[in-house]
Amino acid sequence: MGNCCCPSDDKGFQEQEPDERSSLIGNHPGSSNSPRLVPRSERTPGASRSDSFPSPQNHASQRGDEQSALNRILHQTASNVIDVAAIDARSMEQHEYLDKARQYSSKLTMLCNKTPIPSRPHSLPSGVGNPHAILSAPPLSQADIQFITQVADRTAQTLKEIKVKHKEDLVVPFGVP
Amino acid sequence: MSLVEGLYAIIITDRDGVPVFKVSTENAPELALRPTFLSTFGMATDQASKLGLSKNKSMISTYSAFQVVHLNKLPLIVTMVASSKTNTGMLLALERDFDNVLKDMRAVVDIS
Repeated sequence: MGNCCCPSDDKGFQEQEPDERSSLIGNHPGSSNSPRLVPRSERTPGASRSDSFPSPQNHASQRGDEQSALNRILHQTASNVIDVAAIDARSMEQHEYLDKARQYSSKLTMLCNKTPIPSRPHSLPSGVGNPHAILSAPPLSQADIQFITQVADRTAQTLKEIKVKHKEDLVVPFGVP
Repeated sequence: MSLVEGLYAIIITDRDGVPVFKVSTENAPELALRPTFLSTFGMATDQASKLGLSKNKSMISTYSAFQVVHLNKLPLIVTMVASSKTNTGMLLALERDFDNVLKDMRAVVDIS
C-alpha cells in the first residue's frame, strides 16, 4: 500500500522475482501466490505438464528428494559441529580389550613372519653415538683452533728433526777372562 | 628408541587405545601407557580437524617432566613419550621412519 515495510500487493504484477520472502520449500500453506523456486531437474519442457497437473507420484518423489536433501544438510552440519562436552567417552570392556589386543598381537606376528624387517641405512660411522649432541654443542673458539694447529705443526717439525746420534758401539765386549 | 636421547616409550594403537605395538623403558610413566589416556587423542584429532585448518596431523603435549607426541595415522595412532628435555624436532622427524612400517601395520587393524 505504498508503505516501504509492506510487500507489494500489486495484483497486476503477475510474475514476481524470488525474494527473501519467497518460500524455498514448496507446498507451504502461505505460498499459494508466491513463486516457487523450481529445481533445475523440473525446468524441462516435458515437465510443464506435470507442473500444471502435479501427479501424486511426482509430489511424493519431490518430498522424498527434499527430505533426503534436508537430511544430508543436517548430517553435514552435525559432523562439522565441534562439541567437546558431548564426546562419547565409552570405555571398553576388559574382555573386549583383551580380545582385541590378542587379535592384534597374533596378526602382527603373522605379518612379521611374512615381511622381513628392513634394516635402517647407516649414514654415519658407528663410532658416532649421538651426532645431534655433538653437532648442537657450541663450536670451538678461534684461539683454540689456532693453538691446536700450532702445536700440531711444532710436533710434526720435531718429529722430522729426530736423529740417531752414534755415541758408542752397540756391541760391548765384557772383560770375561 | 636409542636414536633419540630421552625417548621413553613408543606405542602404536588403534583409535580406541588398544595397543598394536608397544615398547617402553622403566622411565616411562605407567599412566601414559594406558588405553584411557591413549584413546583421548583419537577423539581430539577428530575435533581438531573441524577447526578449519584442514586435517590434524599431530599433537604435542608438554609437561614439566615429560612430553607426549601423538601422530595421526588413522586407523593407527602413534604415541611417543619422552623426557621434557628431549629434542622435540627429533621426535617429529621419526615420523618418516614410522611411515614405512605403518604401511604394513594398517592391515592389522583394518576390518576385513
